[in-house]
Amino acid sequence: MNTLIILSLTILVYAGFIYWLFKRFKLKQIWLGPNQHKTTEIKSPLTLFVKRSLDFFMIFFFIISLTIPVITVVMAISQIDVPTWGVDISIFSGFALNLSEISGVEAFGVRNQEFSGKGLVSIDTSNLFAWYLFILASQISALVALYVTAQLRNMAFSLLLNTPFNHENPQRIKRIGTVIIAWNIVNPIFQYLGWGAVVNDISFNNEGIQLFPAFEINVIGLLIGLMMLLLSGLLNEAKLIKEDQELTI
Amino acid sequence: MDIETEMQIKVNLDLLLVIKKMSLTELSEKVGVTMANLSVLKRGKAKAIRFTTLLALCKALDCEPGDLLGLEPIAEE
Repeated sequence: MNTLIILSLTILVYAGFIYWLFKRFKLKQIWLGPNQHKTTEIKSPLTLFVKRSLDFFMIFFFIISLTIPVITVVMAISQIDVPTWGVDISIFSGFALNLSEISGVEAFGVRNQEFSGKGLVSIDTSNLFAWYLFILASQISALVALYVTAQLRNMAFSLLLNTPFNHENPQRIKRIGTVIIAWNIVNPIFQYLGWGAVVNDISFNNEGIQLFPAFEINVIGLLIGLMMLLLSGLLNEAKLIKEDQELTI
Repeated sequence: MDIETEMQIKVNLDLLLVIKKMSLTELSEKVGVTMANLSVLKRGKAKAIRFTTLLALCKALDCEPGDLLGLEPIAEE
């Protein structure tokens, strides 16, 4: 009975928090987009398609970012009885497999009996730190994705309203570029330190299998971020030229 | 005195319209420039003026470019 009351109260508080979010960040306004009062003829079906796709992704990321705290609470409650949460999490790790060290296993079609690399590894862990880290990483990723989607959607709106060279679009592209660069700097550090701590906790009773912290910088991601900053500068120039053009009588 | 920083181009459209006893609508029809654009010109918000527009304005107002354009100091805000 007590659990039910606590659960109901928690749901109420969370609903209140979501309502506050809607009011505080004017989420309805963000959804409707800027200059919604303007009626316009939609010229490009491609832009409309992009905008609708962004609508979908925005709803998707929004639901994910609202659901993650709920999942966390449910998982945390279930963890009281069972030492594992029963769900795999993905961690970034390096791995090395030396089959010559493992008796009874042999690979064919390779010169050396060794495999190594780095990437996402799915594990079912009883390590609470790993779980909370995974949840935190997922929540931050969802929020970043939501922010970038919202910025892109506003740009799609401006294209549909035939005002792509407004003063806000260069700022939006700049913000997206900054977020992408920050993400591509913070993420490798997080992967190395955060997931590294989790990986160091995993051990094998055979020398042939090893998991170790891995560091990987996404150069293409960084270049895309830098390109966005350049694009923002270009769009700013285009905006100034358009202003000049408009004010030339 | 540094002209670039302290002076700006002034469009004497108001004065010429009064002298020629012409309304903005009438001028707009004669020159083929929209009322909105003439208003931008009159308020000094224009960034540039095409030679063709200047010529059409001079013809319609029967004046020289120098009568239409002048220099004035930038008002401090």
